[in-house]
Amino acid sequence: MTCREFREGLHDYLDCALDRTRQAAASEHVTVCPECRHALERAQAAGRVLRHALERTAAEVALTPELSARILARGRVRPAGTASLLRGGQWLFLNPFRVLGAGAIVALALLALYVADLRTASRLVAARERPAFATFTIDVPFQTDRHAGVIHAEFSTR
Amino acid sequence: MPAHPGDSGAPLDLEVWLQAHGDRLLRSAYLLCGDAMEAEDLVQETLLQAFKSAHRFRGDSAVYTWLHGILLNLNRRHWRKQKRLVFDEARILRAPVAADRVEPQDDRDFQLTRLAQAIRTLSPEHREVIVLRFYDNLKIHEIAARTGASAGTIKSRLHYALRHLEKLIPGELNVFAAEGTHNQHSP
Ligand SMILES: [Zn+2]
Repeated sequence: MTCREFREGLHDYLDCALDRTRQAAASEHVTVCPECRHALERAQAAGRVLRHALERTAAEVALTPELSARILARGRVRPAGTASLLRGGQWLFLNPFRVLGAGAIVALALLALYVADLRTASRLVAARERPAFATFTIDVPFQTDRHAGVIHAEFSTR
Repeated sequence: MPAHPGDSGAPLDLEVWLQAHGDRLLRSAYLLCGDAMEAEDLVQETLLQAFKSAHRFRGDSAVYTWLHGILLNLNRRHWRKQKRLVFDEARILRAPVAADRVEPQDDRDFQLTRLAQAIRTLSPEHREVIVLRFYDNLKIHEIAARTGASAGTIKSRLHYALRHLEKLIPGELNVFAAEGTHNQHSP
């Protein structure tokens, strides 16, 4: 086995994923080639350090009873709740942008109703009595596990 | 009638999965995305997606492997959405690696902290391969299978990821090499 072949197959060698002949040839190579032996030792050392660092970082988090409860609650078929105005209630979780999107759709629907209503009203009221413009505000409350608040929209019409 | 576990009103499998794999999934997610809150969301989304598609689980892999595959997909989808962050090599190499998150207790602690922070600055693809290789202890072909990339691509990513880390923190990947032992956990 050449040095180049050894280096190219280094990760597979560490995985014992080379075929039997090449695995044996690689083992043989490191006994006679100090440079490749050094490369192997470096790779093994890097692996140990990285494992250690990752284990330590991973230990910064743990599954809490709160998170477990939240996930289990989401997995159940839920009765009507704040977020279940959309089918299944699952559409809303995690993503506040979806919540905003849902709010925007509701707001637009309300606006359409309002405009339709305004037109009807304007037919009934003399043109000179109509206000130059009207403002209309919509507040859509929303609530998910993480995010709660009100989407506030303000519209003006002439 | 129940299309998946839970329809019958007893979400037993979800609870079992959570108990058996939740913690490990969370830690893996945290390493992959680098943010505790995001990791919680990822795990939640993973388990619920698994729950919804449980009928597609054929049982030809371990449950954890299946769940972990879903987690990886969700994480990848998430980072693609966040592509506004461009991880070019030059930027990574210029990025300072400050040790301000954890108070270092000694040199080794300090070095591990620096290494952990350096891993966070890797591109998502490079971080993924480092986490899968060294936290999940997967072989090259297993990483390839789980990520849908070729073994050659995985080796190449691994090579560049290790090179990045060595450039960010010169010599530190080699810090225990001189010890030449497997007992790197003892002080
Ligand atoms: Zn050699």
